[in-house]
Amino acid sequence: MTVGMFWGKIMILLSKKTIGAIGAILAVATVSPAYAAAGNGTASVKILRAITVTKSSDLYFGKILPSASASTVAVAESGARTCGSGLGCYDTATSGGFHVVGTTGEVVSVSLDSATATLSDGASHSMTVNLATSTTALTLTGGAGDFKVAGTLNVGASQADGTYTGQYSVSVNYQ
Amino acid sequence: MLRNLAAIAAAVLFSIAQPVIASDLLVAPTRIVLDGNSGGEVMVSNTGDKTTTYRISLVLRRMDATGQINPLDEALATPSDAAALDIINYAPRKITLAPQQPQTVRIGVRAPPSLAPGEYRAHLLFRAVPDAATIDAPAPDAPKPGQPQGMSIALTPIYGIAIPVIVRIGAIEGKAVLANAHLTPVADGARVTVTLQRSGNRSVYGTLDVLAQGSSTPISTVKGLAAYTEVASRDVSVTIARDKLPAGPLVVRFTETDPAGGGAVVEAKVARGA
Repeated sequence: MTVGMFWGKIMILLSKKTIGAIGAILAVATVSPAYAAAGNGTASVKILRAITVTKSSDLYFGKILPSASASTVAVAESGARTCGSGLGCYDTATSGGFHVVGTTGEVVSVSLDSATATLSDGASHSMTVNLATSTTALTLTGGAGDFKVAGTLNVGASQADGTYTGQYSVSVNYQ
Repeated sequence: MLRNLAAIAAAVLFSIAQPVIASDLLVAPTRIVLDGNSGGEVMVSNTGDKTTTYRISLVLRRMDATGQINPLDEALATPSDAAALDIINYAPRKITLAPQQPQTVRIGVRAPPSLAPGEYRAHLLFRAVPDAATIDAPAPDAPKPGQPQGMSIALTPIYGIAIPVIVRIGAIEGKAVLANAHLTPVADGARVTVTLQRSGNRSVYGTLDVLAQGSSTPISTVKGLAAYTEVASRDVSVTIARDKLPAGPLVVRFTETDPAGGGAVVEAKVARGA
C-alpha cells in the first residue's frame, strides 16, 4: 500500500493487484476504516475515481476483392457488412468495440478525432474509411459501458491487391 | 428495459472476454481543478497484459449544447485556450509501463501575475502507442488454394482517455440552475430531459438525481456531469424504466460536487408531457 499526498488529502493507493483487477473506484465499498487507518493516524481518505478503456473488437472489413468500378464496403455497429456492388467480400467483419469501466452512474463523452482515416498498402496505394459512432454520451450503468464504431471503406476502381493498414483515434472524455 | 438488459448482457459478455485483452489503460482521478500556482498528479496504470507505451498530450476540447465533448480545431483556439496550454505543465510526456505497473504524471501550473482572472481549461489525453504487432492484427488469413487473394485491411484504433485540467485564477463565481425539465414517453419507460444552465465565469460540475417528489431516494443518478464555460446551458437526458417510474410528480436535483460549488443544490419539477 502506498500512501501519498494528494490535494492536501491523504490518498491511499490500493495494491497494484486490486487496481488492475477492478479499478480503484470499485474498491470504495470494500475499504474499511481499519484499512484506511493502517498507514496513518488521521481518517481522511480519498479514493480516486478511475477509468479504464479496453478495446473489445477491431473494426474489420474482412477480405475484399475489388472490381473495375469504385464501390464501398460498410460495416454497421452491429457488425453487419454491406458489400458494394461488384465487390467480393469474405471473412467475418466486425465493428470496432470498446469497453469503458468507471464509477457507477458516471457519464462520459465519446469522440472520434477524425471522421476519416486513410489506409495505405505501404506502396503508393491508399483508401479512405469514413468512421462513425452513434454513442456520444455513455452512461456507465453498473460502472461499465460499451460503444461501437462503424465504418465505410471506399474502394477504388481496380484497387490494387495487398494488405492495407491505417489508424484511427477515439477518445473517452471525462467532464 | 430492453436497453438496460442489453447493457447488462454486454457487460457480462465483456467481463468474460476481458482477460485476453491487452493494452488496458487506467487513469485516476478523472478531473483536476487547480489554482494559480499549484500542482497535482494523475495516476496512470497499465491494466493490460503486455508492456505498453503511452503518450500524454495536452489538448483542447469543446462542449456543445448536447453535452458532447469534441476535439477543437487548433485554428479555432481562443487566447484563453492558448493561455491554458501555456500555463499547464506536465511530465513525463511518454511512459512505458509493464503490465499492472502504475506511474504518476505530475501537473504544474505557472500562471503569470498578469493573467486575467477566470477559468482556463485544457484536457490531458492519455493514449496507448500501438506497436508493430498491434498494427498487424487482425492477421490476414493465408490465402487458401484456389481462393483469390484480394485485399485485407487492418485498421488499428488508437484509443485514449481525456480528463479536464481546470485552472482557476482570481475571483471566480458560478451557479447552476435547472430549467425546462420534462418527461417524454419512450418505448420502455420515459425519458427525463433537463437543461443545465450555467452562469458566472466558472464551469459547474456535479450529480443529477431524478426523484419522486417528497422522496429522498433517487430513481436515477447521473454523476460527473459538467457544463463548461463555453456553454451557457447543456441538455441532459435520463431514461427511466417503466417499472421504476412513480405515478406522482418527479423532480430533478443537481448537486454541485465541484470544490468551488460548495455543495449547492438546485431542483426543478419535471413537467409531464402529453
